[in-house]
Amino acid sequence: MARVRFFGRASDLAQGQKEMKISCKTLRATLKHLKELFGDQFNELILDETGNIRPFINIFVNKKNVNQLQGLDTEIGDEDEVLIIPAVAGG
Amino acid sequence: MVASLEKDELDLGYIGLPPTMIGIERGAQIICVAGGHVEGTVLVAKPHFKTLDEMNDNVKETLKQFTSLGSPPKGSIHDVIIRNLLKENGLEDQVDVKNYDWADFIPEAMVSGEIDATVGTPPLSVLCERAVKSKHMIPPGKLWPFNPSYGIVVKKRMLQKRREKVLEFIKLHEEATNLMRKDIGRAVDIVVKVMGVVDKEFIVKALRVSPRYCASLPEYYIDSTMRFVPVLQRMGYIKRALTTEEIFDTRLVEKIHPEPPHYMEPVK
Repeated sequence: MARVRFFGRASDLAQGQKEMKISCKTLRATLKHLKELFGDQFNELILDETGNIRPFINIFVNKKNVNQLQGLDTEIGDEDEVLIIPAVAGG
Repeated sequence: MVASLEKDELDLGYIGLPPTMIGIERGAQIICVAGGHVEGTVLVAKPHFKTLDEMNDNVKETLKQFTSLGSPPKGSIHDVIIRNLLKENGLEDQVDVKNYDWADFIPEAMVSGEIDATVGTPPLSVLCERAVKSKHMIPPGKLWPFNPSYGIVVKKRMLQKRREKVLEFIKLHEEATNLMRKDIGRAVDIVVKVMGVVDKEFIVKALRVSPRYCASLPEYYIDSTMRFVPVLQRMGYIKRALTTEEIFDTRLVEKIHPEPPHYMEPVK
């Protein structure tokens, strides 16, 4: 199962969890599963009203930003690490 | 961002001056045409450490309390400032600076005990305050006076071919900086709406940590930037000394901002 890690507000809305294991084939399926677990508020933090990843949310699969992969259709393997990071700290 | 400007993925960016200077020295055809913010590097630590004030204004003793400090990536303004400060105080071998690819990883590193303190942006300081109740250790002006957090950096080609567009952008940028100082409530509402990932209280706190916004390029901004040249050379980021003219083109901003700079004006 893939390891999904939550940072900042994403962790707050994931009921304080920092990470969890999920078995889904794509990022889209992973986020759908997280919506089922944590509700609309979590989902709305990550996706805008058109269903796209919000500009201030960075999602990395194995340290690569999914915007440079296949976006929501990025495949997620069992050994993969997914990071969900609200980009707030700048720098 | 410098690489993206070079690859034509971006025309313009809000970029810290040290990374801009490193890019220019390596041949990037970019130039800073307006200011943006000064003194945006802060140093925060877990609450049991003593502040500069509590250490009788002794910077060395304040820094000596730490064994490891976090920082955004190498070459960022925060990284350069803290490494320089440690060197100036003879502490570069005693205090380990850990660089993080994303500053958003830093609060967790403080929670886990990986680092005692960190340098970074005002928003990072608010994240750390929420995570570990961190406190400010050394005022930004004492880390590096007037340090140029970011300026408006454009491709030289853009400046030549679309000068009016750049001018138009600088005007909007100046209006935005004025809004942040003059009507913090409205500015905060806009930021919260656009970002969608933070609450009002967070943005108010971040703005108040260092509300030094303006589009102008006064002498103290440029002088502070130029003081990075020998430091970047010593650190090996650049090989030769850069001139003011290579880094700045002040002509456009002088047109739209002839009045004195607003950086030090209080927020209303």
